[in-house]
Amino acid sequence: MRTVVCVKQVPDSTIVKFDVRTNTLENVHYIMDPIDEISISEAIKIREKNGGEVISITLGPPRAEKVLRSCLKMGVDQAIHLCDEAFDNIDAHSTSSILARQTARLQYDLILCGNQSMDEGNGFVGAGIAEYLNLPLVTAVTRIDVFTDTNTAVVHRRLKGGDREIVETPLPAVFTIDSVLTNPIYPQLRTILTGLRKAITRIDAQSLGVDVRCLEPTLALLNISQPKPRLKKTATIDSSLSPAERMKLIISGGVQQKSSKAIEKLPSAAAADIIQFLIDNGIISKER
Amino acid sequence: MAMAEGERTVSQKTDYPRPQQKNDGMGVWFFVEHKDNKVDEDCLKLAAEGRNLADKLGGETTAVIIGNQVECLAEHLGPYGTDRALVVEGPHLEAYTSEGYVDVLAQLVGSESPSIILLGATTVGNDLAPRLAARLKAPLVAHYIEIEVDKERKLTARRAIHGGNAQATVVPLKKPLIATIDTQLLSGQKAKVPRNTHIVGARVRIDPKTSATKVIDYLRADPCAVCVSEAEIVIGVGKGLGCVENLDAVEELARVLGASIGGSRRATDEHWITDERRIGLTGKTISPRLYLICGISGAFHHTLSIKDAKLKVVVNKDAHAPIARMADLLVVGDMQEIIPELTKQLREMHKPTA
Ligand SMILES: Cc1cc2nc3c(=O)[nH]c(=O)nc-3n(C[C@H](O)[C@H](O)[C@H](O)COP(=O)(O)OP(=O)(O)OC[C@H]3O[C@@H](n4cnc5c(N)ncnc54)[C@H](O)[C@@H]3O)c2cc1C
Ligand SMILES: Nc1ncnc2c1ncn2[C@@H]1O[C@H](COP(=O)(O)O)[C@@H](O)[C@H]1O
Repeated sequence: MRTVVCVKQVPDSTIVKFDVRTNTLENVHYIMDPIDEISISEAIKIREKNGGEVISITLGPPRAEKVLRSCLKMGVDQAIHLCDEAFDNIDAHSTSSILARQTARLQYDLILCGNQSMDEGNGFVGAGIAEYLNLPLVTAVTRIDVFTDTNTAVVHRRLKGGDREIVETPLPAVFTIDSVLTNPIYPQLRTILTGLRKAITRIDAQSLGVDVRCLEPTLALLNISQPKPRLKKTATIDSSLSPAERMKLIISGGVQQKSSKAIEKLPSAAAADIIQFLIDNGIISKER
Repeated sequence: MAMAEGERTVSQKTDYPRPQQKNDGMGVWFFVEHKDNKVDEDCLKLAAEGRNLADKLGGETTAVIIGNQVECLAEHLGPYGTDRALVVEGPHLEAYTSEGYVDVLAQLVGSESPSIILLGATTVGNDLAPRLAARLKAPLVAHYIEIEVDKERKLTARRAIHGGNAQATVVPLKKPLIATIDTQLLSGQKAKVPRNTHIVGARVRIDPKTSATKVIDYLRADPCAVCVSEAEIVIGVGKGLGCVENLDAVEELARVLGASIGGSRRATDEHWITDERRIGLTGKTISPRLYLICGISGAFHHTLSIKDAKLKVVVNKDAHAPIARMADLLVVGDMQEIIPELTKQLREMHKPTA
């Protein structure tokens, strides 16, 4: 069983901040996307059970090599770094076409991607690879069972509210891993040390045979800015608000405001208010 | 269902007219999710958003309805200004399958040139949208916050990146723009001018080979037992619970609401709830539709992980607890009194009326 895992280096989004003064991201600390770490763990578990190999691939600038080193320390057999200045600032379609092109040069039974990356969160690359390689795709996977005798896999797919759909698919296939699948591995010291010594293969656009002029972008990034909520279509200023609150609403451009209703009533009246609030917001309905 | 040359014909209808040229390329499509022969409530919001965008673009809105005997659903969309419904029917389209549905959608798009295709950022939408984008080599904007249309009818879309710490503004360079949105962001206002939604039965071909994956089973979760990070409704308890005996009342409410119980570190430290149910920096991150927060003060270690909860209802004795600032509804009072009362009233509400 040969599993290819796509891994991505991302700024740790739990600490990154957008600085309005400098108009840039501050506190950028690069890590391996936690979702990809889960995929690697899963791939290694599959190898433990079925034998075979785990290959990790990343597309990114020279600094991204660090995530491949982490993969090797986790026990990955091979690490491939797709690295070329021409790959800077390409869109998700191009990213997946290049990853697919490299994958096609390998032998593989299974391709794992994250369901959604930590930085961009497009949830696209897995689908893109499946499309380029014309493979079956299952998204939001929370469990994988591989059957080498029939060359199939049975996976669980995450649905709303904890429900699962169980899907059978022939291999090779692409699975995108959901973050609820947390099953970390703890590599032994020997694995870590071996991983430190292993070579990382670096491949540029030319040797991959990618003509970067042919990468047609579908999206252009205009800018990155401070997060701003959706504008409310009808910015009606509620006359029951205090002047200060009305000012706040105007300054925020009528942005979707928390209604921030506060109630202090006897328990029965308070409970009735909560229930009405839940009905108004479609959480519960009167009929059942 | 007739099988000819390895192809199946979906829908018995043959009247699939070529698109009228007048609004060609300015249309806004939206994908209709439905269940038990009812349009999903959230989808009506999508219809309204589609109308809103189409008005700015000067185009029509088209609902795409795929399923078995679903034509009747179109009538609910008129009040939201939907001009047209493209309906694809067939018994094998009864349940959503990603390969089947993406095939149908891609063919529908292939024959016209919509400007935008909207999908809800739901289990289905999140599965379908990237596939459709990949198939059509079209731009995808996942979880958009807003799509803006300028005077020249050029589109830009805003979306959160880096876990909500920044936002990107992007410009689609191709058509159609495939976009998903969390429908909770939408207000779902009815159109000023309701439409008589014109129904078009569409014919598409499905290659049976395309369905490589097969759904073999479905596991239904118990909403009270499910992990807090997956639950749709979460009740959080903190130090304000007071003692473990008081948990009984919370559990009762959880059963009535179909909620999963989680809590603050104080609640786990006291062993009122198990560690897997801790919410916060050293626990789980949650994104339920409703988070009912009882007796939790709102330390940032906790609130960090509840940002994605759509609706936050706070019950706290202290109107000035930090958590109050995050509340959509703040109820100042004693949780020990309010929780049983809530349970009682919910039970009465759902009692079969004699
Ligand atoms: C490194 C580190 C990691 C941490 N990780 C986490 C984490 O992952 N998750 C987490 O939650 N905390 C975490 N903490 C702890 C956190 O800082 C707070 O101490 C904790 O969240 C407080 O819990 P609480 O709100 O339940 O208790 P308190 O702060 O004591 O608040 C109790 C609240 O209940 C209200 N109250 C009391 N009685 C009633 C009543 N009868 N009815 C209604 N309201 C009532 C009070 O007004 C008060 O607001 C962490 C701390 C550290 C240092
Ligand atoms: N540059 C990249 N290199 C390798 N894998 C990537 C890259 N970008 C995205 N991926 C994979 O695709 C997944 C989804 O990414 P995204 O489409 O950005 O949400 C990630 O979790 C990775 O597994």
